[in-house]
Amino acid sequence: MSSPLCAAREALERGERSSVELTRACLARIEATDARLSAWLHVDADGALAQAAAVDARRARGERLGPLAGVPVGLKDIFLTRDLPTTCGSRILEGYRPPYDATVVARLRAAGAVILGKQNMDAFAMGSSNENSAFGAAHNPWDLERTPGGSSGGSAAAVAAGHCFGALGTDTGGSIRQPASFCGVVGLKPTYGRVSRFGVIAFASSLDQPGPIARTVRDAAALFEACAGPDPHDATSAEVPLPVGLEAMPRDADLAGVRLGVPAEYFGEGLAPGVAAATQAALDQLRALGAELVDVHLPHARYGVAAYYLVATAEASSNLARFDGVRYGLRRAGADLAAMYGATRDAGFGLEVKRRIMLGTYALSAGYYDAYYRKASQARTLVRRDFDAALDTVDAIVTPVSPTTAFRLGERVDDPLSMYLADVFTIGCNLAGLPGLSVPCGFDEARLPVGLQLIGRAFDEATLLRIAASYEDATGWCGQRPALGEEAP
Amino acid sequence: MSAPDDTAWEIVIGLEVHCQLATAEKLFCGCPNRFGQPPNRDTCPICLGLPGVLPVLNRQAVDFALAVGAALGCTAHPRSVFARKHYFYPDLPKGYQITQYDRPLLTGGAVPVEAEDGAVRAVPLTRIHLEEDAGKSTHDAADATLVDLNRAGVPLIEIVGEPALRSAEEAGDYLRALHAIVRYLGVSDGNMEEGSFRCDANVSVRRRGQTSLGTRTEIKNLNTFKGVQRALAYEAARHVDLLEAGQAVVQETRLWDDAAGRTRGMRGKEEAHDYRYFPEPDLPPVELSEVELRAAAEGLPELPAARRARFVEALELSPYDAGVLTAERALADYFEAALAAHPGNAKGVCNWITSELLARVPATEIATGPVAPGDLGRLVALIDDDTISGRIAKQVFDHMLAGEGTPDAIIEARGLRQVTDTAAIEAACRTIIAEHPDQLAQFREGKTRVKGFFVGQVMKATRGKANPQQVNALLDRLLAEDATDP
Amino acid sequence: MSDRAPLDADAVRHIATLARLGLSDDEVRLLAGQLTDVLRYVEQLGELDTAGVEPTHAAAGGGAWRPPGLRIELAEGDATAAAPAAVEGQFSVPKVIG
Repeated sequence: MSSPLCAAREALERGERSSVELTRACLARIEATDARLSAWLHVDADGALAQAAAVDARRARGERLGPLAGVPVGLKDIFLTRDLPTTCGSRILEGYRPPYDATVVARLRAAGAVILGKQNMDAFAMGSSNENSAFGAAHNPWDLERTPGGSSGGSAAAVAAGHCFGALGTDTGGSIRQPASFCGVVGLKPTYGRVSRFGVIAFASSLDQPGPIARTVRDAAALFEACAGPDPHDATSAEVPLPVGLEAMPRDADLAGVRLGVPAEYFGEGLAPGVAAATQAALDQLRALGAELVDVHLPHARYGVAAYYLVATAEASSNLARFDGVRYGLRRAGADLAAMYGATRDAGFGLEVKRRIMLGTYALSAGYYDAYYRKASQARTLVRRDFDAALDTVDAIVTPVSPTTAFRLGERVDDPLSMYLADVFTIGCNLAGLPGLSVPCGFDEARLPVGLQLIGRAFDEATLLRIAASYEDATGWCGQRPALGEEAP
Repeated sequence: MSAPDDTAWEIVIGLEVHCQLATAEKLFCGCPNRFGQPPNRDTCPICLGLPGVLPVLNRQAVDFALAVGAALGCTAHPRSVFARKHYFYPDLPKGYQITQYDRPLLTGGAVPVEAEDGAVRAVPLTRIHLEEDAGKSTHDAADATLVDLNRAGVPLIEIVGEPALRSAEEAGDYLRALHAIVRYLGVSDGNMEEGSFRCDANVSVRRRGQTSLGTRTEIKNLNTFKGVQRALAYEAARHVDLLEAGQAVVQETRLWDDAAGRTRGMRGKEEAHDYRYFPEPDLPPVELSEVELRAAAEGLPELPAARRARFVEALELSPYDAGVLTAERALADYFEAALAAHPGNAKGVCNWITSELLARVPATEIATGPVAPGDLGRLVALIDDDTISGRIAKQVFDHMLAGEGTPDAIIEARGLRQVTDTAAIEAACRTIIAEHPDQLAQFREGKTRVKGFFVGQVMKATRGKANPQQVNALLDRLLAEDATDP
Repeated sequence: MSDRAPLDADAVRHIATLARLGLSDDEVRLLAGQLTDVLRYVEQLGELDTAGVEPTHAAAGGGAWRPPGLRIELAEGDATAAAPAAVEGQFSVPKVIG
């Protein structure tokens, strides 16, 4: 199939379509279907049309334009956007308009992208179902009763529903890959340090990484290329050269000479039959394309969830301390300062955010630091070493993204631990800082999308994208769209 | 309250000094680092702690800290780690302070402290680490606390001393020595009133001979050298009184009330702190090469103690004068520049600076004041070569202060050159003697003190320009001549 | 780790105070149970022999110095523009009694 973003870009370049036309079509699609999906928290129709008109005018004048000139995209509401509301899915930031753009937003703007608005998410990116959004959960376009996944659920739903040509999400423990798999789109969590975190509201600083969600691998590559690269505002962003022209990967390339690791630890019990079958079929397809499949072992993988939920919550408890009702955001009155803090944070944070702040505060508190936070950080080292050793022998590791397909909204809300456990396959990448990609690999018996995860070496997103593009070209799963009504733009 | 009995009790003091670094920009953002701006003018999303911001380290702050470490003989670590220290307070924008915890930039070292009697003692340091300052809260309004974040993110070094000081006086000497060093290095303006150089103290007392430490109290709000000494003396005496009365010292934080001259416990229940330190994930560890660490030590200026010793040994100044000149780097630099213009008379140049110049120009403004050091040296040279007398020199100096130019130009313009022509002076002396027969008669009757009258008259007649030694010698001769030859 | 008691309501309240979360009694009860479940789960980390294992705190790399002059300029008044309460350019909070 063709890649919608790349195709739109070519049509714009050839003058066959205008950016205003594309933007209007996206806005119409949002208008028509978002009442059912709740994928957006804020749609900036006027602003988007003005940006589109400006790009069209520049193109008409023959000016040199950026690589995404005129292409409408969406942003998870975790990215700071100057003068546009940025809530992070939380009441505590309702109505907040930041005075600056995140680095990646500035890069998208510089590339000429038209920013349609801000997409729904679990508050502070904490959640795997979008049900922790203070503004109501987004729905899965394949089945409106089901979750689109989380935390970048609004972004994945919007991309799947054809609201935009791509979106930026963030991934701390699977928040790009899991919703991408649940919604049948492509999601890339880049290597830690590859994409600037400046202006991205922090959940867990050592794990967070922004990345693209798009309908095809090539579209994801185009978005990735536009926003990746070192940033002087982010000391953890890495000075590693970025390959260019990724989206121009040759079509229908085979995978001869590619070694793929298959970890037994990711294919055990607990894997839903539909997911197991689709994943197995994908492995067969990869072999048929010429890849060599190799057994690898990640013996510490099973400690990943425990390590992750201590490290991530510890960092979150710290990162969310700034939401104190003093300089911005919600304030609730209190008799004194302590009461104001307590009332503000109690009213502003939802239950999941409070749960994680509590867990993280506990993990760092006097007497518990060594047993929890430090121990988890050591376990993280062991998990990382497993991946490093495996990736010494293979080009990438192939696994399922999630043990199940999209589950029903409300099904797991009362059992946070079971929700956490479902992150088991995606968490490893974040703990180890490695790139991970989710590419559609079929459907289960309920015709819900299944995603295949590829995990690569640090800063080798190019290999993941090449393997995924080859697989995508061979299977055409990416061409399947949810039946939400009218044609996608 | 009794003064601590030196024979029975030993005072143990440890100081923690927070010293702002005079970098151009803040520690983790590009805001200017300066004092006295309108509230929140010098802020940006980073030091305001807005959502999404990240810190990036200012190299100049690290270099400044390394210079202090090199000056104090600390061990500089090739790898150090920033950590977050958590507490909620309105002037702490992120809800945590970025500081260093278990892996500081510098450890060990010592502050050379010179007592009144000239004895020098090295007071050991525990560590020096880098951290960001908080903003400023003011509680003057009736029902609100107001917060200005201009200071938030200003780089600080915290200099943690061992509990090795044994008296309030020694603590004062320690602080002055540290203060001189950071100012010498040019890494801090050390302005205590503006909070650039702040001090918290831990105090305990123990019976002499006892090895374990007594219960300590922490004293905050120490804003002047004098205040530190008074507060420590007060607090130590308070401990002794309590213990001698059979009561216990309560471990607590107390505030020094300078006006009342006493410490008091902080009001309200002090919450038990749990700072929940953990490594700052937004900042990779600070990695410094051996070359970078060495460069810090090699770039050091001569420090006050070494300079003082050189002034005494090589220039033969008194230890007192050398101490005055080296208290401020700018003053010592001025002295050396003045001396370069007149290398022969260090003592004379020193005296002119300490007794004349400092009486008129504050030490801190001396470098930018109206009298250039070369001109001051030249002035002393003009005295020494008898171009002018010491008294005329003071007139010339007044004109220099008024900005009238070099001493040579002033002497020329105002005709102040000393008269050394013996014939001219002799003529003046003879005229004066002839005009005052009564005084001459008195002199002859043995009232030799009248000679002073003649000297004064001659100097007056020559408008001070006659060489006083020559006038004296000539008068001696002429008055004697007259006595033997009526 | 395994000998650690589950979180009771008092412990939850203590943590909530540290985190400045004014939890209701219902929330305290609910969180005591849920956090206890999670803590029991993470205790499996105790099985790991981590003696001598350096903790991982963030991916290596990066660590550049801030280039001088890199600053996000705010317009005058922007600093307090989003503040719930501000007085003459300063943030205003309930009075802190020193």
